[in-house]
Amino acid sequence: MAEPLRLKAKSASPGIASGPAFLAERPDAAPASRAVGGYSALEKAIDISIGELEHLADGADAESRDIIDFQIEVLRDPTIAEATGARMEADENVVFAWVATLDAYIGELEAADEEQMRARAVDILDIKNRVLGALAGTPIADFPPGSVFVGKDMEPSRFLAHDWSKGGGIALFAGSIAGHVALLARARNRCRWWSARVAFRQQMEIPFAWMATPVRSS
Amino acid sequence: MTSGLRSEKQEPDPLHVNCQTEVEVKHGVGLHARPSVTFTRLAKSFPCSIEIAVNGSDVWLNGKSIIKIMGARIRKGSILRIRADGILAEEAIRALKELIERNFDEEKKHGRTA
Repeated sequence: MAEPLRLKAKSASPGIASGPAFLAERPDAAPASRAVGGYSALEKAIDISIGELEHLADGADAESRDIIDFQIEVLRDPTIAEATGARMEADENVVFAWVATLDAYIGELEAADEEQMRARAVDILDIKNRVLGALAGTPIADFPPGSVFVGKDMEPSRFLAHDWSKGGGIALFAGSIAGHVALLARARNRCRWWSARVAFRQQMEIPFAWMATPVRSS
Repeated sequence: MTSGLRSEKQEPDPLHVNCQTEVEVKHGVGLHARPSVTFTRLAKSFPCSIEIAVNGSDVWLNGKSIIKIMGARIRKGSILRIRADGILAEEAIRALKELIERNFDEEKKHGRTA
């Protein structure tokens, strides 16, 4: 029998989690778009996304509300609307215009000197994909309760929407302890609201598919 | 370092006001996510245009844009110039300056990071 795979990681929240691994799609793989429409379709998708986030904020703790407030504020940013609108006036499809605008901001954040700024890139990615999902009518999929989420990074709204009452954990190879997901996990752990544990690996040389189940992270 | 408000009221339109001020950011981590949300939400509550320039730059950024505010790398010790143009410009400048001087009301959110 082969030895279990062991990977070192930086812990964002102390403890042990075990469960079947859920291998996530790359979060930068935007949902396939069947969307059509002009600027009004985008405005509607943004409104839907804000509504979804406000629903997530219902009954949420202060940490979670701060993160949701940040995402809503980005969705209401007038310069994003202007930049996307300008691309559409240049005959870009609404999806391409939205993706190109948000990708530019994501690129700027990923290139930032400070980790705290780089960690915001996944928030913008989260927003980008949420609006694309609303445009295409395909909401962001959840993952099975009690499993260990394994992926490049995790969007904060996916964390907030997930049912952690059955435990589970998160292992990310491009996560950050300054990220909003790490912040949320620490807050929950401190309050002992659930048993989720998070481990982040900064660089993983081994492809996801080699991760065995169950995954134990420390 | 802070300075008083400076306004230029243009007759005969009493509603059209230009106003500008300067204020030092003293918040520990500067304008990361949460302080930026607080700033832009307050800015958007006023009908006038609001712009900021950081540390003597002559590049004016939209003060209602969280992307622009966060991207400006405003940190502890940064000097912000804030200008407003239009209806309620004076009130907007005063409110934004006071918000920065109150450290974005972070005391109410003690113990949480940006």
